[in-house]
Amino acid sequence: MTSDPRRPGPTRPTTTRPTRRALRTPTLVRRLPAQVRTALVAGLAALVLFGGGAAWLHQHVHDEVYRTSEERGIELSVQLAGQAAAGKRDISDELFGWPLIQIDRTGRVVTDSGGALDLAGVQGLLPPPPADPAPGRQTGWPAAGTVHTGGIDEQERARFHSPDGGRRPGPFNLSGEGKYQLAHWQAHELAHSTMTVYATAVTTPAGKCDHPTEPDGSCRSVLYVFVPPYNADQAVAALTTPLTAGVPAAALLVAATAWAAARRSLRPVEAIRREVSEITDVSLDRRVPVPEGRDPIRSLAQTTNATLDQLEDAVDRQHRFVADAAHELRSPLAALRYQLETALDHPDRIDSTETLEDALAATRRIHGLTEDLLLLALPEHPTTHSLIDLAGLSRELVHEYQHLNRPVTLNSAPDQAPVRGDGLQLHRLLRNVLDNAVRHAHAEVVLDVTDDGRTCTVTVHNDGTALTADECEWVFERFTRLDEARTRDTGGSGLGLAIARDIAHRHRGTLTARPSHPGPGTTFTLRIPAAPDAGRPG
Amino acid sequence: MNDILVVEDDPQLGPALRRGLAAEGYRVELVGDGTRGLERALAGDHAVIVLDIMLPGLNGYRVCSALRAAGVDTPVLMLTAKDGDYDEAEGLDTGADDYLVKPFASVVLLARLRALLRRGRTSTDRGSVLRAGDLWVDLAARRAGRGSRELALTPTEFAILTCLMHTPDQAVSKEAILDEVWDPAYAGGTAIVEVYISALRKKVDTPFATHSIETVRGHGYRLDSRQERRDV
Repeated sequence: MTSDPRRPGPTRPTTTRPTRRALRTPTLVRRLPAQVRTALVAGLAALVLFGGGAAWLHQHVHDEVYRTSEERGIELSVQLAGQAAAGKRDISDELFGWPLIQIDRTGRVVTDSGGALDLAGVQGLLPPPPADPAPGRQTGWPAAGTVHTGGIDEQERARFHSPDGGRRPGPFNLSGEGKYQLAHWQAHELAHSTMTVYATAVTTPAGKCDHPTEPDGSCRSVLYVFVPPYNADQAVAALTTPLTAGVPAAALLVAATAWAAARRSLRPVEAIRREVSEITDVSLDRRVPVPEGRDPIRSLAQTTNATLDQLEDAVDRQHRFVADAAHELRSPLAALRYQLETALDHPDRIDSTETLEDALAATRRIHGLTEDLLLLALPEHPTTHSLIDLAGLSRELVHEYQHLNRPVTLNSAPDQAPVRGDGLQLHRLLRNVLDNAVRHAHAEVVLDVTDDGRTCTVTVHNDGTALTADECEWVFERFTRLDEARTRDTGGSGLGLAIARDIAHRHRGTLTARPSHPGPGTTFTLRIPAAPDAGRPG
Repeated sequence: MNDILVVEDDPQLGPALRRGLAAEGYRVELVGDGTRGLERALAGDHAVIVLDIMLPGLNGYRVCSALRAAGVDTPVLMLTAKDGDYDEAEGLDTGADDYLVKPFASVVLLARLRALLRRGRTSTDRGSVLRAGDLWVDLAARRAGRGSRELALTPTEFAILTCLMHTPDQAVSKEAILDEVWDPAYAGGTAIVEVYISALRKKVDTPFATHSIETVRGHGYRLDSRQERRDV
């Protein structure tokens, strides 16, 4: 039961549609204007692309330069290992002072330089020792490994740091204390880094070796040479600033360009909108500007103009229809009113029965017309979906007309011709067509019904004067009467065939007229899609 | 006991209905609003109720619903303006037995009233689908069928079938069918009813090897509700 007093009727149950939880862009983004969204997308894409490119470049340069360093590391290792095998003490990288450390098989540090020992726990960080050198050789080939350095061993903190933590001032030279200071600072540079370290196996023969590790008096040790990343770091340092500044700037530029371009491309849309907003029911002849570019905006403009064409047509037709309808209603109303007023003015002089009959006739005419008008105003498709037998309907109508002594015959018809729709409307359709046929026939009206499974066809042929090609279309127009006097006499409203065609369209069918072949006359043809095989008995 | 309760608020139509029906020999009570209409319908013992939809107070649907809920099974003829919103389907769903669209011819109203009086009171548990055996008629949707098979009928055939389906297993005379189904302007005799019954049988019975529509000699036709198609 509805609680709305204005609208009677039981409450219709509302169907709840299940909400679809699909992935959607967030509301905030969706609400942004198109040009901003385009700029955002372009900017993000540019950022990702340029950023990716920059990162790759950065990494690539670093790796390339570091590779060069590693090559030097190998050369250095070979050279210094040779020196170590010859028994030289205090080996070091004379050129760059790279950290290195030589540890014999017992774990004793034989020599170190470049601040290697200042790295906390450095011995535990080194990769496992490589295999011994081949027999007959004193050194192996440098094996590459990776070391992850930790912090700094600050046992001799006071030696290298001033009380406030900074470094002790110079002199930084390569001899004496200055050398140790340099080495310590280098260690600081290498703290918490990952770098390659080359391990080379060294065998120092007996006699050259101070602390033998082997029974035969020789020493076996491993020389570790660190390859610091200074050069690589320096090489990319020059790149870092330009890249970190350049990439966002480039992305911003791309975004700005995209925004400007998008904005520009949307300008025609604003022009269309402006035009449409100014169109009212009195200025329906205006059309929107159509841009030149072959794109969706052009299609939009073209479609809008086509729609406006249709709208203008429809409004025109509506105006004409309302005017015609009002005109049609005026006549019987005038007759009705005049008759009744006269009868009241002269009750004794007027035959009341005759007056009432006339009044009733006029009322029926008005009723018929309003029913017709209402039918034309109904929404497009019938709400009734009955299964209607067109063949049976045709038979019934033919009998009816024959009973009224009209010359209507049914030539051929199948047992049934089922279509879907509104039976009363279809009855009306056929009756209107038959009325028209009967009115114009000289001697006979003939019906034919066929059903080919896809379409049901009813033809109504009358042998009266044939319609011309133009008349074959006009005859379906509202309120046109090709033969004024006749239709008025028999009470036709001029809407009969218009309604018949309207009903045909509502049932997804057609109603057409053409001159009959052979012989004189006009044939009206009704075609309606047949209903799927629901009514045919098994 | 031919009392008719008319619930209609229109100042012209209401009194016109009362005058017209009284002239036909009925005793008419006219009421102008829904609440009073319901009150009188519950209290009185009318043979049939003519009920408008657009009423002050309770509207026609609610009056009818309340009436049926109270177990009153007096036949109800609803008057609808049929402007899309107010549907005869809803009228039938709330328990009305028949409906007429305004404006209606007086003879049509009389014929429909006669039909309702002839049928008499039926159960309050109607709905808008009539059934007898495996035959069904959906008054609201205007469709009919046997079992799962829908029948293709003409409006007149549908009306005749409906007429018989209202009172299954009871004979209905040809005159009654003619009165209920045909336009009162039809001047022919009852022979036409025979023609249509024959056409109807070809659709309802022949294809299914049933004999739902029976001829009752001297009385008319009857719908046999025990008939069902067998080959399913």
